[in-house]
Amino acid sequence: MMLSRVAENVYWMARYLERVEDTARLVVATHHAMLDMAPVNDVQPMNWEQLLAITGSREEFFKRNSRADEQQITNFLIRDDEYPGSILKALHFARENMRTTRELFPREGWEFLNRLFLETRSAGSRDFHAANRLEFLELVINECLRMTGLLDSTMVRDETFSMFRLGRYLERADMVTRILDVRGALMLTRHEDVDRPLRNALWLTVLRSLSGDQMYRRRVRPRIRGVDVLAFLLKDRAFPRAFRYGVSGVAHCLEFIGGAHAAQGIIARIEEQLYLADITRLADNTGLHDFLDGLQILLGELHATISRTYFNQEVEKPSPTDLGSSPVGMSSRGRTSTATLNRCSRPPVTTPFTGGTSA
Amino acid sequence: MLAIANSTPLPNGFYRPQGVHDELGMGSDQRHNGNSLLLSYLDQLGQKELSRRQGVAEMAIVNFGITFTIYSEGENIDRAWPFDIIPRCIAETEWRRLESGLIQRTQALNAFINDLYNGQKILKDGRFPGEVVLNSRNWRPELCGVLPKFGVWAHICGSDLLRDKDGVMYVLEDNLRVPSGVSYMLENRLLTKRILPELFRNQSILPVDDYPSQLYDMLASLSPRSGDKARVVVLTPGIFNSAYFEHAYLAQQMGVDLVEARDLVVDETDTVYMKTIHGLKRVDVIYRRVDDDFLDPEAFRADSMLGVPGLIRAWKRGRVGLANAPGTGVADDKVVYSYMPEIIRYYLDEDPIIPNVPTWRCHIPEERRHVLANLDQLVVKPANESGGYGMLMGPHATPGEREEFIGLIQANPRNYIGQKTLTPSTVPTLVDGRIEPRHVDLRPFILSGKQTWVTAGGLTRVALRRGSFVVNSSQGGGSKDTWVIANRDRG
Repeated sequence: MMLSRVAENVYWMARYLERVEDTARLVVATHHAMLDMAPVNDVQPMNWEQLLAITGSREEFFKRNSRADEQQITNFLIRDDEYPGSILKALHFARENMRTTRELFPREGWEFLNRLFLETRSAGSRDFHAANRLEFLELVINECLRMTGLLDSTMVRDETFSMFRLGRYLERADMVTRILDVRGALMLTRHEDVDRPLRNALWLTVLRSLSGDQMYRRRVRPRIRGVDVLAFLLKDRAFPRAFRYGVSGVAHCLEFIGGAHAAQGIIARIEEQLYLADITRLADNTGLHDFLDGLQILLGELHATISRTYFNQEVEKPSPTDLGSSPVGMSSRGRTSTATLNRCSRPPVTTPFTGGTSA
Repeated sequence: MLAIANSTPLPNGFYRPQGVHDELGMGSDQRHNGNSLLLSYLDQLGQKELSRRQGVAEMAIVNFGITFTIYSEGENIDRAWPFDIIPRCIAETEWRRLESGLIQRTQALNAFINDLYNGQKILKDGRFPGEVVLNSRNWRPELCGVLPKFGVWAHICGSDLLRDKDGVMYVLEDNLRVPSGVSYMLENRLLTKRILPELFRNQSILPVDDYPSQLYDMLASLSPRSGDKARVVVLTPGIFNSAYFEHAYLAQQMGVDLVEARDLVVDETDTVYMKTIHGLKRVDVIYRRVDDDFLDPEAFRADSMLGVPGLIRAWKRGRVGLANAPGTGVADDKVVYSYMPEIIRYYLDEDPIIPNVPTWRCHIPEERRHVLANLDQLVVKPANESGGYGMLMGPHATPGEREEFIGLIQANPRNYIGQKTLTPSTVPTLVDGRIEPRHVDLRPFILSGKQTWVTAGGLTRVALRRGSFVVNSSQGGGSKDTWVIANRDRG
């Protein structure tokens, strides 16, 4: 039977680990795209600054940096020690969360994460240039995959494992909406200025940042087409980095752990939104932003509800006859509306590594 | 480089131990320790390869995250566990004798604590001075009348053994509160198996990895509920405790939950629950790694924010098992230690198998005079401190430090004892690529439930600084794997 405190740590460990991988993917994909693309009609369709928008860290970035150029932005995203979303910092949080829960994981899991943290910290102690940066990020992505593989191939399918996967799926779903929102909106608003091949190339970047280009071609069609890419990344049931896949992953985990009726209700609302979405219209940039904004708000609610259900229940004495009852707490510390206020702010990254969102 | 008999010519790099007992081959009579194999192996390996393997071990320690935490300059620092790859060897014959001595001691200690809280027969018989314990700050009069299962209070005990110049092992102290180090004992064995696998092939080294199962079985046997599978938890003060690594490690090895006080709650029926994602679940046994003072604010320290309100209530009513039992610390006292031979004779009617270090008690006027007159030769220790703090190492102290202790002893004689200065034995240790003698002690762990069980060997701690006797990891100590080498006739 999983402790609430421990469950929260496992959940955050998973989210931070996923964040590490996703952020690395994002920088790698941008890197490749920048090499491919020259400005067209004086329009530079890609720029590094978009990464700040995607990660919702613009304000944080300019606190310590003056120029939003490649060097400063990538350094910020890779190793800024005060930005909780940077790769090294997120890895640090993942490690700290695992340190307090290491007894739940196979010991190789902790050893692996610990080593990854120490190695990346020492590699990240100096500035990166374009070539070694790529090498470093690819290493991080590979190691994250190995970590996932290790846990996947050694852990008992129990609540701990489900809690871990729950965190990963939720973080991943969140990342998809962010990437689509910023990249998509950018491409589509500049509709007239950007010619078709370039637009397609941009969609390709979106796919690549999610390692989805090959899978898209195999599953959907060889040609890159905006409406298809959007449908694939939002609604595909089989691609593990698609939004819907992440959300149904969350649903499965919740079902396994049990007692999460409220959270399942929110997932039903998300499914409804996907069902009702007119992808052709959205791909044509009619209401895409508002649509994704709606999804992010729902993800925020989902997190808050999961948190109320499992982590911050009000203590209810079980009745003597029913020691196994699962009280669903009523305490609310909603952060559901964060997404509305600042749609690009990360989910609660300020979460202390030791205790989730405890006040 | 290796220790050899004084009569033998000295090959290159070997050290010649002087004025100490060196456990690895100081005389031919020591070879029965099974050390000759180790000796020739180390010699064969050569210093370069040894250093390389030491490097591999250190890498593994960092990568495995085997750490202890020290508090320094307002910050908690996670330090890698200092480990020396050369194992320390003890022959099984000697070990069996030590083992029975430890069992004897622990049984007597438990009988003593149980008597103190239930009837105080030993005080009434005048065989132990009551004022010594009844004024101790670890005495918990509110626990009188509590009878824990099997009459056992100290379920987990870590006794420190030291071999003096004469080659005899003495008990230096018995740690009964929350003794730590057993996880390092287990980790050290894993490391040695990786680093020196060849040595495990040619001799039989008693395994140590049974400890987590033994610990679990003992803890589960304390459950107040019968029939059900007992829910055992490890209670830690949290990640900033210096032994947090061990708390997490033991929970992991036993497959039980690691909880903090905030995870537990006691209801009005005096039942202990833990807060899980499915609500409250009953807890049967708590292996607590939290000091008495911070266990339950209702019982011991109302000013403390730490602890689980009502826990002691639940324990007194027999609704939950606690290991070690609250109040056990009363016997973790240097003055009580000095009476151990009498305590063993009183409860077991046996002679002590392992001797105490000669000790003088400052609350007894003539013994105090002896201590004050011989400060330059004795070690003076406060009765209730652990971790080597607040001691005076007479032979190495400055006159000023001795003056200070004279004042301290006279102000509070009950709180001090003087002890003969032992010269702990040395064993070969790799220091900066060279093999040098370093002083060691040994902490076996003794589990007591229905039966008493002792680890095969224990944790060998080594003072890594030249000439130093201080083995505490917080003060420049490290550790080694400890091999109890099976007698040959066992096959």
